[in-house]
Amino acid sequence: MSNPELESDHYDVIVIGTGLAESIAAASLAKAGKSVLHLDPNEYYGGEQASLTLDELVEWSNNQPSSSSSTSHVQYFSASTTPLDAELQNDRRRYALSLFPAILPSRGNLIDTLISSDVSKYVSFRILDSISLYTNEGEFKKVPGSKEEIFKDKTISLVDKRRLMKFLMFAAGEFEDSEILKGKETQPLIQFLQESFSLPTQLSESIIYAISHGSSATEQTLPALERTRRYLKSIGRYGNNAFLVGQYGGAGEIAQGFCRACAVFGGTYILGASAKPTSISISAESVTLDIPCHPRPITARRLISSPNHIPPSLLGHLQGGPEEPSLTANCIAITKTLPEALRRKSTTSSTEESAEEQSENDDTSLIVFPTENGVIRCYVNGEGTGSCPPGQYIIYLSTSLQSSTSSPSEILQPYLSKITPDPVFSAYYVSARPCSSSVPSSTADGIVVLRPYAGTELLTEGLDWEAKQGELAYRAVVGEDGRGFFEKDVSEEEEMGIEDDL
Amino acid sequence: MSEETPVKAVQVKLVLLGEAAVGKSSLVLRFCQGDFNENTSPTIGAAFLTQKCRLENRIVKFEIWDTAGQERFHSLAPMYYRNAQAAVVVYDITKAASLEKAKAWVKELQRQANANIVIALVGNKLDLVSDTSSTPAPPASAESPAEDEEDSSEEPSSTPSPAENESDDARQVSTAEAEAYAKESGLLFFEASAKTGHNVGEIFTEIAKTIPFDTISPKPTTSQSANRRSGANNGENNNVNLGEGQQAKKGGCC
Repeated sequence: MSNPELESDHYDVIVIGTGLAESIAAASLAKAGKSVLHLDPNEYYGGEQASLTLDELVEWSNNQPSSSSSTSHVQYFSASTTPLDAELQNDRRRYALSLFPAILPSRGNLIDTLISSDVSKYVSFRILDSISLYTNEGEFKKVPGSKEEIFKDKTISLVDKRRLMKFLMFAAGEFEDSEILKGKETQPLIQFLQESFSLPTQLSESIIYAISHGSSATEQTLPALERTRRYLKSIGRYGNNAFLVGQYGGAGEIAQGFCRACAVFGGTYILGASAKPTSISISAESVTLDIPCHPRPITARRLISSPNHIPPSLLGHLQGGPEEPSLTANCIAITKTLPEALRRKSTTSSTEESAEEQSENDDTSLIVFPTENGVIRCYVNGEGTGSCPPGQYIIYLSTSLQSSTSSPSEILQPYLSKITPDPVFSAYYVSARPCSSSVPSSTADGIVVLRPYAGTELLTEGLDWEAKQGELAYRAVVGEDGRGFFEKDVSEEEEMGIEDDL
Repeated sequence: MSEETPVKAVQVKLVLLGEAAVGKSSLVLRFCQGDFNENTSPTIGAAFLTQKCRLENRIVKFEIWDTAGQERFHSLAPMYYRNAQAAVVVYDITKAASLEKAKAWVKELQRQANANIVIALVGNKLDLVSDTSSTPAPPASAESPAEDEEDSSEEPSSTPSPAENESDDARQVSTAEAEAYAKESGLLFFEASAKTGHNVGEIFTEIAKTIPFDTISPKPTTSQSANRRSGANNGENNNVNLGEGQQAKKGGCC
């Protein structure tokens, strides 16, 4: 089937890449009445946030370079996968494996955007079942997520429970004006917890890694507290856990939802090699690019893209030199046996009400391993997420790396074997994320650059970062006085379909 | 799962497929709103439409997804096919090439969609042929100029000549040919007219009757096989309704 050419040579906005931020920007602009052309040189949706089938992941892995080169955009290297056996080969399309494994706080930019855009109608979420900490004793200990769970937890002494509650009250409140925090904003968090709240070391670590979801015990107190407050306020919005798990691979599916929303509002979509720009040039008035599937140059008033699709010559100058990127070792594994950390133990509670809960094990879980070299995070997706066949689990592992020569499998494999003794598939790779100062936010000439997430808390912060980038790009195009981000029309009900409830 | 409560509507996701301008949206608008608009523009603005279909023993609530134009450059996302229990693949009986595209979409469905998806092949624009002759005819004009423009860039070989008028010999796809293909591929088959409404309701009723409801998996599962989680918790209830949470109690664990 031959492709038709585009209906127009000119668009208000061209967006390159279908990552989450790009897709949110595209949908919001189309919704605001802009004509949008959305291109992705990949054959699949999602860009850096893509969810891939098993065979796509193997192909993706094979295409990554052996070492990193650039510091202005996200890169992957040292990638490897185990071979697919006949069964995996046969079921390959039943997996949704995320290049951006992340959980979604129930309060934040992305949730707000999903609701205001009505993209929440396309994507489905579940509550994260549990968060566990791997203890010095070699056990998986569930971290109590709510007040009720803290009271039920028999491993915490009564006096520690009071201290913990006191801290949680503090962290959920307006701590900025508090005397307790005064002068200690930059103190290492662990010191603050121990000195100001008399919390014992293990409980402090639980807070740092499993409630604040920090990467290091020595993180500064104020930013950690700000993040913690948001997570604490997320608890109870949709359930007993602060976080939601996106179905079918999460970020990639959400990006597809925004792309569909954009298409519904008139956006045009082209994916694959025929959408890969062969040239991009800018003038005072417009951006011009050529793509293989259209016989004439295409112009747009603005171009929105992550830095990887923009020629370096157009990216503009950095303030200061580029800093070293932050490196992360990643693992994606599949197992057919229940990871021990997801088993609901009958000893966790002796009350009768738990009988019902015990009938099922966890389907999704976040497990943190505090180590001397930083935290190792493990995120497990079971069949309930729709991202693997029944009875199987997808295991994502990640940790910060100090050196680009470290082997991701050497570092993560020991932790994978603590989660499951017998994975049927595993893939390892290193991701290099540029520090935010290494990416110019916007060039003067009509190109809006979306900044990749640069921190070390991608698992809990990455999705909201993307949503914020999408909104910033929208603002950059419509201006501060323009129409609101996903502002509703009067006739909204008609536009979104006729919903009748029985 | 629906056996004990036959009055409750069973929700079914139905996706539309077919070449641009064959009348996908018109068919749905006819079905959902009893409406036809001669100059309907390429689909803009509707996430999906819903319409109920009453059978003897159950109510089927169709959630109908339009391609939103994403079929033009073959950029339909996997999300589009996800959990679709039915598909309507539309071609235009006055354009031979549109049946070939429909066949390609059927193949795509077999690759991407659930194994037990019910597919209906629908030849639209029956109103443009006044006879029921199954003899292929030379090219004739389509129903609106807008469509001509779109098609001319895609299928130069079948570009309708503007000089010719709508006549009895507009038909390019014989009933027998399409029916034989549908039969051999296990598809339901209809010829219909979104303009007159002829056979439109029948398409959806027949789909509703054909869907194997007893084996339908709840939304979150990956495939047709029921799983223990959804079995225990009745599937979709595990999913969070984001909108509802807006009014839920204020957060904070303390």
